[in-house]
Parts: sequence; C-alpha cells; structure tokens
Amino acid sequence: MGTKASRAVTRRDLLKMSAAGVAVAGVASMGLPVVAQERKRIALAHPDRAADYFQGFMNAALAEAEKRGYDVLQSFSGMDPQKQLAEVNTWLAQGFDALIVLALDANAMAPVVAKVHEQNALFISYANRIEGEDGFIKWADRDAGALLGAYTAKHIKEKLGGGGAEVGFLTATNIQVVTDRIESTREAILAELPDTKFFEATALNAPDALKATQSLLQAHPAMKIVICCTDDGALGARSAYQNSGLGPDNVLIAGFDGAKQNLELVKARDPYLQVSMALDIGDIGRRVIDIPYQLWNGGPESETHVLQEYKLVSHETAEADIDTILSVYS
Amino acid sequence: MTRQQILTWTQRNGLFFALVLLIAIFSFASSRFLTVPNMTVILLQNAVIGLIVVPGAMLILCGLVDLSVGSIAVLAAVVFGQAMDSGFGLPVSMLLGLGVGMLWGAFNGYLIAILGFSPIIITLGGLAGARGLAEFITQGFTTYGYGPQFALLGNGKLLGVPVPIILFLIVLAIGLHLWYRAPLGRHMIAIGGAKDTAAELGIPVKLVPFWLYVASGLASALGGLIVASQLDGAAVTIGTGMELEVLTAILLGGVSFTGGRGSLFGVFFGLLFVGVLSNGLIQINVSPYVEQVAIGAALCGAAALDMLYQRLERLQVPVEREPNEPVAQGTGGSQ
Repeated sequence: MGTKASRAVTRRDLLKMSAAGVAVAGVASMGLPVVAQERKRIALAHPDRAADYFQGFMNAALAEAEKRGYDVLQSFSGMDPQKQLAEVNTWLAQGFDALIVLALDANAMAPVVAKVHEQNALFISYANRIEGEDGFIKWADRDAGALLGAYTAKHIKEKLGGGGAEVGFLTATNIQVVTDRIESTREAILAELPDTKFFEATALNAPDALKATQSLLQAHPAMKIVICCTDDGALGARSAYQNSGLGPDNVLIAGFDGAKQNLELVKARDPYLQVSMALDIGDIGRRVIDIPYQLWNGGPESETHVLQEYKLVSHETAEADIDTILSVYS
Repeated sequence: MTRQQILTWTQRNGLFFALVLLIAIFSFASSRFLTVPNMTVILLQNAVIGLIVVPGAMLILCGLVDLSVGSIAVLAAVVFGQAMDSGFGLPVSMLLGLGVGMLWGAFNGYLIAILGFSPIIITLGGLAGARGLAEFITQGFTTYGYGPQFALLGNGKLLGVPVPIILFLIVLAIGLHLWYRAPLGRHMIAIGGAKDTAAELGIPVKLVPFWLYVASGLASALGGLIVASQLDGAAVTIGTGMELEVLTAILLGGVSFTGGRGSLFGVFFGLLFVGVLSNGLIQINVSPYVEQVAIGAALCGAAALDMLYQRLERLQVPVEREPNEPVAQGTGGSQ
C-alpha cells in the first residue's frame, strides 16, 4: 500500500512539475522575442556564396554588425532569381528590421519593397537599384564598363593595330549587374572603334568560361580579347588560352569583381589575365550594415545613397595599390 | 555485321542521325566547325561529363539515379586542393580527392542499395550536402597553383590526344564491355526491369547498384580533379549543374528513367549531341539571349526525331532477335 501511495504521489508530483515546466516554457517563449528584439535583425540576401570575393565581403559586414549590435540573417540563392525571391518571402513571414538585397532581377524584386515597408522595415539594395528603396549602395557597373571599354580600345589601337579587332564577351543574360557591365563595355569600345567585331557566349563561372572560350577560339583563332562578366569567368578564359597552343602575345583577358586570385595574377603580371575591375569589397561589406544604421539615426544622404566605384587594376597598377585591395582577404 | 543487324542498330540509334544532321547544319554555317581541332575540343569539353555519364547510365538502367555527381566533383577537387595546400604532396592529395568521391559513392550506395532509401532523396541530399561541405572546407577561399605535374591530368596530351579524352575513352570502353559483353549488362537490365524476379534468379540486386554508386562517386571525383587541373584551381563553382548535363545526355540517349532498357551507344550520341550543340551555337555566334531557346528546341527536336525514326523503322523492319542476344531491352536496348 505504502508503495502504491508513494507512487501516486510521485505521479501527481510529476504532473505538477510538468505543468510548471509548460508554464515556465510559455513564459520563456513569450519573453524570448522581447530579448531578441533588443538587437535589430538585418536580413542580407547575397546570391553567390561561391564568389571568391564573398568571404572578404562577409567578414567586413559581420564585423560592422558586431560593432553596431545587430544580428545578421543570411541567404544564398545560388544566382537563381526565383530562389532569391522565395528566400526573401520567407524572411518577410519571419520578420526583420532591414532587408539588404543584391537583386538578381530588379523587376521581380520591386513588389517586395512595399511588403517590407508594410512591416515598418527598411529596404536597402546593393549592387543595383530598386524603385522605392530606402537606401542603396549601387555598384557603378556602367561606369566600370565604360572604363574597361576605353582601356580595351586603347589596347586594340596600341597593340593590335586598330580597327576590326575581334572581342569575345562571356556574359549571363538573366543577371542585371552582369548585363550592365558587358553592355557598357561594348558601347565604350564601339564609341572608339565602330568596326570591332563581337562574339558572345554564356558563362558566369570558371568551368563554363573554360568551355565557352575553347569554342570561341576554335571559331575565331585571331581573337585576342575576352571580357568576362566575372573574375571567376576570367580564370576559365585564361585556362583556355593557356592550353590552346596560341601564344600570349597581346592577349587581354579582363573580369569584374576584384577577386583574390585574379588580383594576385594581375600583380604577378600574368601574360593573359591583364585586368580586374575591382570593387572595394571591404567597404561594400561595411556599408551594407552601416546604411540601415544611418537611416535609423538620421544620417546624411551621402551615407545612405552610395555609388561604389570600381578600380581598374591592370599591369600598370602599382603593386602596393593592389596589395591594399587584397588586404580585405587577409 | 549482317544487313539485319545494321538495320536493327540504325533503328535503335535514331539519335545518331539527329547528331549527323546537327553536324551538317553547323558545318554549313561555319567553315571552322568540322575540323579536327574543333572535334577534339568538343570531345575535350565533354570528356568529364562523359566519364560520369557511363556509371550514371548504368545506375539509371538499374532504375536508380545519382544527382550528387556535381557536388561530389567539387568536394573531391576541394579536398585535393586543401591537401595540396597542407603539403601532402601530389599523389596523396589525389588519392584523398578520389577517396572522398568513392566514400561518398559508397555512402549513397549503402543507403540506397542496401538499406532501400529513395535514390532521389538521398542523392539530392548529397547534391546539397557535398557542395555545402566543400564550401565549408574552403571558407570561400579557392586554393590554386598545383604545379605542372598535376596540370598534365587536365591539359596534358598522350600521342597528341588530350589526357581527359583518353580517360573518357577508357571508361567508355570498359562501360561498353560491361554493358554488352559481360553478365553485368544483363543483370542491370534485369534489376531495372523486374527487381524481384532478378533477385529470385540469384542476381545480386543490392551489390550491383552499390558498386555502381561507388563507381559513380569515383568517376565524379576524377571529373572534379580533371577540371581542377584544367583551371589550376579548386574553385567551388566546379560541378555546378553537372547533374543536369549528365541526366540530359543519358535520357536523350534513350535510357529509360524507370530502368530496364537503354543503350550506352545512345548515351554516347546523346553526350555528343549536347556537346556539338553548345559548341556549334558559339561557333555561329548565336546571341546568348536566344541560346537557351535554341538548345531547348534542338533537344526536343532530337528526341522527337529519335522517336519518329524508331517508329517508322519498326513498321518497315520487324526486329528479329538472335538466339544469343541479351534479354529484351525495348527500343533503345541494343548494340
């Protein structure tokens, strides 16, 4: 009997403890968001974790977030505009204080701005601009293309004897940043050398660029210039040239981003890879977190509406200057 | 080869004629297309996919699939790159890269073939998991500069033929032997066609797929190392979209996705068809804005032509199977 009674008490105690546990858990779960909301949540949608510059960018962003006391949510859509949109919608359901997006498709992202504002949150775009945004850090893609186009035209005039040169473009038509880069480069070359012949292929990363350049070189063995929409692509084009049996004489391969390996190759005066249009990755990483801070604290427009220029890094660039850009990767 | 055998072969390889037609179109459009250097480039561009396609087609013949090939390729490349960076030396680093691929293949094989898990779910998990692991290992920083010895794997030549092409042809020859001349070929068809019956007949219905997954992992790892050699860098973009390229070649080649029938020759033609198409569109300078549409249209056209050809031929020439020919393989299942 005694054993039975003590068992019944134990069960009752257990029930009480369970009820108390549930109550504590309930109170805790009600209290947790209060604690979490003390730190603002910034959702950062970067589409390409595989990009060589990504780690430098993220290091700078996270350091700035730590400094400001923000939590950072991250997503990587693998350069897929639809996936990026789905991720942003998931965040919208979850709630955040600011959304920072490198929009793969600016038109598709436009309706998101209103949804973000409905939640009293900020919409900040980087790389390109979206109508209705609260702040931005726009990459000066078209200016960079113009700069690279002028440099390429100079190369054609000085080293390839002027007009009629063949230029290959490696591009991706579904990404606005990329089409801006390539189209503005083409326009700048045409402005100076209207009889330049252009040949295009789709390639965003090194393995695809390797194949595309191999095919281009079979069709146009006299082609000495390949402009790639990314630095990763430029590495693939370089491998294709290296193994094509064609000499490196006056070859110009250029890419965009300012990736580590490309900058080091330019610094080492690689005969194929001659140019990287470098962004200040560290500054971009810092600013994507600083812009919401400035907006929340009434900062000046110069700190919330930022145009990020590219730097043309070529064989003529001083090694010390390249080292400065490379320092973000250390 | 008798007239009957020739007719049977042509009936079952309609894609071959679609390929010939495609080559003819590009040859008329570009004088540089049908040249030995360009044909070599096409083979070189598709050698890595070709290596992976052979065990991949065998898996699909068994009614299975491996969607993790591209991610295993990048994982192998990254492990190799990190090992080289850590000073392990070339042979050990290559063995580590290949070993990781084999291990991942064995892991897939154990879960799918032995424990009976869904091949799509497990290899989709591998697709995300292996690439995620590769990204975690690199932490975003690509290793590069592996020296001239490793460069031979992707860029070297043997008797004037690029090494990747030689490796692909070796794997293809082994695959053709296994598919058509060894008991394994009939076993794969039986497993894909009627697994329970195959088991009752004593066919190792678990071990065959298990080893095919190991072979698929090994081939993917070798592919990853070849691309790393060609680029002289273990970029995390290696293998992106590779699984789709592999599946396209296999399915275009006429291997039934549900298993039980298919032709490795058809797969070879499927591989070449896709390779010729990509190369040819660049040769004739098709705008990137219409390139994808052209690829889609050509693939649908090739598949339709293949089907139409098979039906027309079947009406005219009834197939007579020879007494010693392998078990029934359906429309695409012959030599």
